[in-house]
Parts: sequence; structure tokens; C-alpha cells
Amino acid sequence: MKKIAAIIKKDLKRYFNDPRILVSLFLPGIIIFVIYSIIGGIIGDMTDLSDEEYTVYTLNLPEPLASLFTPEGMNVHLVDAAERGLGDEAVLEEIHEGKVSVYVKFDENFKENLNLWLLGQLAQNSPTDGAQTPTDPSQTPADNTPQDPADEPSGQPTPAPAVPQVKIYYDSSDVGSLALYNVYASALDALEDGLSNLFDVNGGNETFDLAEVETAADIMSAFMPMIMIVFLWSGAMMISAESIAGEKERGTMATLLATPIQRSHIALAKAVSLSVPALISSMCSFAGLMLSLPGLMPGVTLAHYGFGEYAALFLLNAVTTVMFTVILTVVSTLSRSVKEASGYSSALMVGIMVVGMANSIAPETASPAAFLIPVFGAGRCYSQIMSLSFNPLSFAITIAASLFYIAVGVFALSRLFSNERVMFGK
Amino acid sequence: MNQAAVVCKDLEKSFRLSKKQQKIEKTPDRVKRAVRGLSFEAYPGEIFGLLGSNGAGKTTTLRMIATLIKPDGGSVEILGKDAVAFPDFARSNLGFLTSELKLEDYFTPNYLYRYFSELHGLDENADRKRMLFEKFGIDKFAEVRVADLSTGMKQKLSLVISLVHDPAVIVFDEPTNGLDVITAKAVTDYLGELKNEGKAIIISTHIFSLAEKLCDRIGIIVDGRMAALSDKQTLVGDRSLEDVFFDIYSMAAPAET
Repeated sequence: MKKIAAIIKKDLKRYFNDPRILVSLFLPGIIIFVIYSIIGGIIGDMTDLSDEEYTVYTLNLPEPLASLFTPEGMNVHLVDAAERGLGDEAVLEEIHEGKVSVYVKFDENFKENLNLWLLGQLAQNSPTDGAQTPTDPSQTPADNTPQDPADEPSGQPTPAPAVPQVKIYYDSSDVGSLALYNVYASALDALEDGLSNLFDVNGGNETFDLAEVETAADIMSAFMPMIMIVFLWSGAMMISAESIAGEKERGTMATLLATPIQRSHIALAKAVSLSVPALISSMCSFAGLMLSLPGLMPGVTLAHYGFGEYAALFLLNAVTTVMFTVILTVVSTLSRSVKEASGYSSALMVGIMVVGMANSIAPETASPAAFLIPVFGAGRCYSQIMSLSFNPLSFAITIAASLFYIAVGVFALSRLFSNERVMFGK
Repeated sequence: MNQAAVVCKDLEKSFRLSKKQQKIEKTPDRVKRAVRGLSFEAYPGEIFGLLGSNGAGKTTTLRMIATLIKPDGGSVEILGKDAVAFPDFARSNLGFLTSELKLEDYFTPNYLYRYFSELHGLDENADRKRMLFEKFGIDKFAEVRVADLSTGMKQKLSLVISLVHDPAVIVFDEPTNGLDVITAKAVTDYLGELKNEGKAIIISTHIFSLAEKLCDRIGIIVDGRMAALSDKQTLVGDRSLEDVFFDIYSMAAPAET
């Protein structure tokens, strides 16, 4: 054990006293945090409409709906196009020129049309409506809406009267215009739903706000596995890829092999010493990513996840990183030069990314055996944890499988260190 | 004579050649027989020299003795124990130096001495370290990183590191290669001291003057075979080692060479 410790101590001393290696360990996490925060800031600025003043032209705007078009937090100036004596073409030209953000055009007699339409809806959904009440099959279609000429004698539901129209003209290349369109479209959709719905879902003042957390978690779970797997692989690759190949190339491995230490002990020592910086790097990347998420995705906070989730993520990160380190160390050992090792590692990274991406196309309900697949299992576990649907069985299988692959990798390493063709072959 | 410290018996070693190596060696053969039935012994208190041209099989033989590679046939015994069966025992009792074995540039002589002592399962012996460092002039550079040492100083440090565990058997491959005359003399003088301490020393060289000066017994390897093996006086007589070597070489070398 003293000899293993000596190798680990020596390697760590080298890694942690070499400024280049230190920078390569911590820099990715810092870069991730900075870049993602900047991106989040830019997105935030682009969508921050509070400081701007927007002119919105309206036509035939029903008075009770005016408040929908002046949302809180936005400085919107409503102008009646008819009062200004402007026709459609003139208004649209002003939108093109950027003078006006949006033009909302209601049908003439919108209110009356709307009332008619609502009456039609009520008639359609009346309990005496034969088409809607299978308990009364003797009703003829004519009993429903006799005024509608489009009614078919086949028993099809009666079409509603002409739906009142609202047209919103906007310019999607203008951030403010696009944002206002989205706000208005959402508000009108909500209004329409409120008018036509026949029953309330989640009515009243009770809080049903579970969806917001789930949505944020879903977004994170969709892209986190891939990103995390790439980060972990990159973190492990920075040192492991060139480790043994570099030592072989420089002749320092032969010096080590000439000392009375068992090959299996060298393999174990190398796996441990290479895993430490890889773990630090991966944890930095993970921390950088998590810390940047609130800025990147509004509504996402670190408090979405509890201690259990973070502990599971930590363990999954650690085991996956060590597994990647061992794989890369095996690749490095098999390589005859640093250049060759880097080439193989980069090629493998593509494979790792493909398996990582398989998470998004594989069925949601993967069989437990699927978690035995390296990388795939880890990716799926990330997904489950991030979407707050942690599955202890899947997690346990993934961790156990990863530990098994690590053991196999260390065993393979010790065999490779005993293989003179591998260690001394030119 | 004492019991042999190193016994090599019928050593055989072949290597598969890559296409590139075949091209370099100008041979259609996929396998190169580097060592063919080599047998010799090295005794405590003597310097045994393996003399041969480049590619004769000297380094391969020394690597088998140092347990870096395994023989395909035959055996190596170090202090009475089979080196293949007990590689750690062999390595614990053997100091191996070759130009292929390098030290990490990042570390200082002081650190490396301590590190290799630990790998040999020893606590650092400060007196021995001081003696070796002073003998080879490393003491002034004990805290200088290897990367910043001169080539000669690196070579001397490698020699010192190979001897941290005070081994009974010393195997040096081309010990004065790349050294200036002053450093080369320091190394050869120290080999003489080690011999007087009773160490069994095997060196490989293609420098006749070195072999003539240092070795008690000499084995001449030609194309992986032991072409001649004798004590220096019997082998050379009143001729020069160089003349004797070329006579033996011309008789033993394959026709194509």
C-alpha cells in the first residue's frame, strides 16, 4: 500500500503543482459558468421589455378588452387606427418601418358576432342536443340547430356560427413586436378558452402551481445528460488521454516498471491518481453548469432539487468520471504515442456522445437491463434525477454496473502493464 | 569462484516485426530472433561485459535480466531465484540503467531519490543519498528540476536513482553513452568501486576501450548468439580486444552481413 500511495502522491504533486494542469482543471467549470451566464444575460436583456415604449394600433377594440393589451410591466401606448384615419396598409407600413410594434384588428361588430357565436355554442352543448346525449338516440339532427345549412343528416355535430376574428400583425424580426404578439396571442387564447369552456379545471384561488417546477425540471432533464456526459469525458480526457502514452513516450514508465512494484498496484495507483483531477474537473464543470442555470433559464433555481437529488448526482458524477478515466487510461496505455492516444480518445468521444444522445430517442420506459449499458445508463439516470423522477433501481443498477466496469478496466490495465508488447512495443 | 549472482541459461527472445520495421531491417521475415540460446553467468565482485554491435541482442538480454521483458525460452536467475517466477525479488536486488529509462522532468533529484526509495520499500537513507549525490556532483543541483539539468547530470542522476536500494546486482546498458569524458570517468570509477564492494555487475557496450578497461570477463554477442565467452586475459591474450572482436565477428556473423 505504501508503494501505491507513493505513486499517487507523486502523480498528484505533479498535477497540482503544474499551473497548466491546474488551469485545465478549473477553467472548464469557470468558462461554462461565465459563458452560460452571459448567454442567459443576453437572452434576459433581449426579452426585457420593461424599458421600452411600444405603440400598438388597434381597430374595433372592444372597450372591456383594452386592459389585455396594456400588460403590466410593459409600457404600451394604444392608438385607435380609425381615429387616426389610417387604413390597414398605412398601419402595416408603419410596422415595417418599426414605428409601430403591433396592429390588433378586431372584426367589425366583434362583440355582436361573439355573442352570436356564444349562443351557438350554448345551443350545441345544450342537454337536449341529441348528438351530445347518447341517452336519447331518437332525436333527429334537425332538432339541434335547424338554421345551419351545413348540417348533415349523418348525425355529425352541428358547426358553430362564423367564429369572430382577431388579427394581430407583427414583425418577428423585432424582439418587442414578437414579444407583444406572444403576450396578446396568449391573452386572447386564454380569453377564448374562458369563454368557450364548459367546465373549470383548477378553478378558484387554490394554488395548482406544480407545473412550473416540472416544466423547468423537464427542460433540464432534456439537455443535461448529454452535456454532463460530454463534460465528464472532457474532464477525464484532459489528463488521462495522454497519461500512460506520455509516460511511455518519455521513458518514465519503463523506470517505474523496473522497480519492485506489482503491475496491478501500478494500475490501481494510476487509476486513482488520474481520477482525482478528473473528478475535480467534472465537479467544477457540474457546479458551473448548475450555477449558471438560473440565469440561463428563468424559473429554474438550484432549490428545485433537494439533498437526495444532489447526492445522487454527485455519486453518479463520481462513478461515471472514474469509469471514463479508467477507459481513457486503458486507451492511453494501448496507444504508442500521445498523438495516437488523443486521436483514439477523440474518436471515442463521438461514440460516447452518440450513446448519450440515445437517451433522447430511446423509449422512456427502458428495461432495467438497459442501465447496464455504460454511458447510456448514466445518461438516463441524469435524466431521471433532473426531471425529479429518481428511480432507485435504475440508479443502483447504473452505479453497480459502472463499478464493475471500473474493476474490469483496472484489471485490464494491470494486464496491459504486464504486456511487454504494449509497454515497450514501437 | 563464488556462486553466480546472475545465471542466464539458453535465453531466447523473438520479436514480431511491423511492416515499417521490416522495411528498416530490410528483411521479409515477420519475426526477428533477437536472442538465440544465450548462456552466461555473472559473479559477485566482477564486471561482466556483453560486447556486440548495434542490434546484436545486448539490450534485449539486459532487459530480460531486469524483468522488463520475459524470455521466450531459457531462464534467468537472480541470486538463485527465477526472475520470471519472482520478478519483484529480482527487481529488489537489481539496479538497472539504460538510456531508455528516464526520470520525470518535473521533479528534483531530492524528491526522486525519496520517491524511488519508497518504491523499493525503503526509508530514505540520508547518508547514502549524500554520498551518492556528492560523488556525482548532484548535491549542488538537489533542488533543481530534472528538466533544468544538463544531459550529463541527468545521466548521473539516473545512475544514482538506479542504485538507491544498494542492489547486489547491477546491470548497466551502455553506461557511458552520451557522457562527457569527465562524467564517463566518474561512472567507470564508480563501477570499479562497486565491483570492489562485491557487486555483480553486467554492462553492455560496443566501446572496446571501456570493455578492455573495466571487464573481468567478456561475452561477445553476434546476431543474438554468444560467439565467444571467456575471461578477458584468455580472450584477448596479447592482442587488442578490437582485433579479437572483429576476428570473432567475421567468423560468426551470418553470410548476408
